[in-house]
Amino acid sequence: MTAAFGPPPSSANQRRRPTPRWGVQTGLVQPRQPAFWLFVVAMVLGGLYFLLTQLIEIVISPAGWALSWLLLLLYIVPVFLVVRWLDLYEREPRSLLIGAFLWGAIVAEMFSGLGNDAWGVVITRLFGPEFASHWSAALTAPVIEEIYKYLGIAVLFLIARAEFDDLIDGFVYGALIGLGFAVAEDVSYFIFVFGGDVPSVIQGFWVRVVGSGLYSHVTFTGIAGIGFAYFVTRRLDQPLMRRLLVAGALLLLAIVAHFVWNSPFLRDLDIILYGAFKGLPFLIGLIILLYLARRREHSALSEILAGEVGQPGLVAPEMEALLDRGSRRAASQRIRVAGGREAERLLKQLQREQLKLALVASSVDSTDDAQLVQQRAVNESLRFRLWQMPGVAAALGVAPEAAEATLRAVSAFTPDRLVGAQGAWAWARPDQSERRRVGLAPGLPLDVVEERPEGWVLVRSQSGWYGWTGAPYLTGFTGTT
Amino acid sequence: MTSSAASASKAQPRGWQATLAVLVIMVGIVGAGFVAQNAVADVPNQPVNVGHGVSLVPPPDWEFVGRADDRDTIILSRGSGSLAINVSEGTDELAALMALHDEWTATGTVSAGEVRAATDLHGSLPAARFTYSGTFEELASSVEGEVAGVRGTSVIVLFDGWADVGEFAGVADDINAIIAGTTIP
Repeated sequence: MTAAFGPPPSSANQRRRPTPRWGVQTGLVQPRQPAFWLFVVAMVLGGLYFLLTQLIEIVISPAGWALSWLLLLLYIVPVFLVVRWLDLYEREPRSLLIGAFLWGAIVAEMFSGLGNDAWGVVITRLFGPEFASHWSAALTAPVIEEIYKYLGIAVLFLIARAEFDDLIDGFVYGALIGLGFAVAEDVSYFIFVFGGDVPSVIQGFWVRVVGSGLYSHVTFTGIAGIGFAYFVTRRLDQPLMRRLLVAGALLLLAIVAHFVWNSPFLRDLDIILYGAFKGLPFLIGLIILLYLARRREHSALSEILAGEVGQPGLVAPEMEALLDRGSRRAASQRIRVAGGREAERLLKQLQREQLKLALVASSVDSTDDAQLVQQRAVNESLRFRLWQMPGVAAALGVAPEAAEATLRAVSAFTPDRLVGAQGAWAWARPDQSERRRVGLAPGLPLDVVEERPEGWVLVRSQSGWYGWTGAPYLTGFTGTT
Repeated sequence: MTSSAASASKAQPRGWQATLAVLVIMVGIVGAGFVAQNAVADVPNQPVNVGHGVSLVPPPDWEFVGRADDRDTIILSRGSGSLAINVSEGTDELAALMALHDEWTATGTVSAGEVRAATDLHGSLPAARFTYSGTFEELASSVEGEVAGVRGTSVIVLFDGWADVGEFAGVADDINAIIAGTTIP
C-alpha cells in the first residue's frame, strides 16, 4: 500500500480522550517493567515461606488444615464475586486479580510476619511483656501490615498503570490483597491459636470469618486502595497536595481502623457486638466511599458514551437504562412481559455490548476507528433482533415511527467490492501512520459502508469485521456470496 | 485490532525509581525492626507484677499470655508448655495445695501425687509441690504437670506448670528457674 490516499483525516474526527481508559487492558506479565521482577522475586521468597508454613500446619493437623481451606473457600468466593460485581464497567484482568490475591496471601503475609515479630520484641523489651500482650498487635500490625498490603497495590500499579482508571480499581486491587492476607492469616490462626482440631477450626471460622470477616483486611485495604487510586488517577484534575492528602488520609484511616480492631478495648464483648462496635463504622465508611466512586464512574460512563448516543450502537433510552440500575431492571421486566425470556436475554446481551462499546470508545482516539464502528454495528444488529420481536419496542417506550426508521436503517451484508489480486492492507483508522493493520486476502468480498474523497473506504466483511482500506485496491463485485 | 493495549503498555514509563522506593520500604521496615531489636537487646527484661508485690521476669522464649479476671493470676507459655502463677493472701501453702489437689482428683479425670514439702524451690522460703496428669474440661488434650506452692511473709504463690503428656520434662527446668527467680515478699 502506497501513500495514495491523501492527507490523514482532519482533526475534527479526533476524539478528546476521556479520563478513564477502560478499554485499554494489559495484564500481570510485563517483563519490561522492573516492578514485575520485584513482584516475581517477592513471590518466590514469600512462596517458600508460605509453603513452609503450610507444611507445618499440615504436620500439626492435616484434617484441621484441609477443613480450614475448605471453609475459607466459602469466604473467598462470595467476597471475590462481590468485588467483581462492584467493578462493573471495566473488569480488571484476571491475572492482575490473582496477582493481588497472591501478594496479600504470600508476600504481605511473610514480610508482615517478620516485621511484626521484630517490632513486637522491641515493644516487649521497652514496655514489658504484659503491656506487649495487650498492645503489641495494635501497635505493630496496623502500620506494618497495612503498608505491606499497600505496597502490593503500588507494585500492581507500576506493572500495569493502564489498569488504574478510576477509584473503584484501587478498591478492587486493595480488597483482593486484603482478602488474600486475611485468608492466609485465618488458616494460621485456626491451627496455631484456636487449636487446629476440627471443632477448633469451626470455632475459629465462626469468630474470624462469620463474626468479623466483613470488617477486617478486605475493608482496611479496600479503603487504602481507593486513596491510592485517587492519587494516581486524578493527576489531570487535582493538585499534587490534594491527591497526597486524600491518599495519605485514607491510608491513615485504614491503619486507624486496623488499630481500633486490634486494640484491647471492648475485648470482652461477644464477637458479633465486637464487630458491630469496632468494625461496622469503618465498613460503612468504605460503603460511602464506594458509593461516591460509583457515582464518579457513572459520570465517566456518561462522558465516554455522550458522543455515541444517536449513533447506531446506542439510542437515548438505552443510555438512561445503562446509567441507572432501577430503570435497567424496570426495562428488563417490561421486556420479559412483552417478549418473553428470549427478549429479556437479548436485552441483557445488548446492554453488555453497550458497556463494551464504552470500553472500546475509551480505548480509541478517533470516532471513525474501525473497532468502534464494528462495535456499533454489533449493538445495532442486536437491537434489530430485539426490536423485531412483537411489542418489545413499545415496551421500551420507543415510538413506532422511530422503531421503524431504526429497523430500516440496519442493512444486511451486501458485498459490492472484492479485494484486488494483489491483496490489500486494512487499518483501524483512515490513517496510514496507524500501526494497527491487517492483510486482506485477494478476492475477499467486502461491503463498503463509507467512502471518503481522499480514497479511504470503510468496509465490512461477512463475518462482521470492519476496517479502513484504500479504494484503488478494491475491484467491483459481480458474483454472489 | 487490539494493539492499543499493547502500545499503551509499551508507552508506560519504566518506573525504576518508584520500584526502587517500594523495594527500599519493603526491606526497610523489616530491616529497621531487626536493627531496633538489636538496639534494645541490652535493655533488661521488664518484670511482670503478678500482684501483692510478687513479680517475675519471664525468660526470653516465654510469652505472657494474659491475666485472669481475678487480677492475681497470670499465664505464661512456651510451645505446649504453660505456667499459671497465682498469688493470694495467706500463710498455709500446704492447705492451698491440698485444696487444689482434692478439687482436681474429685473430677475423676485427673490423678495426682502426694503433696510433699520441697526445700530447694525458692531459697529458704517454705514450699511444697505435687505432680498430676489427666484431662481438664478447658483443655483439648491430656496434660501432665506440677503445682508448686511457695509461702512468703503474708502471701502464697502457686505455680501451676503443665504441658502435653510427654512434653512436661522439656519445660520443667525453665519453670523451676522462673520459680526460683520470682520476687516474693
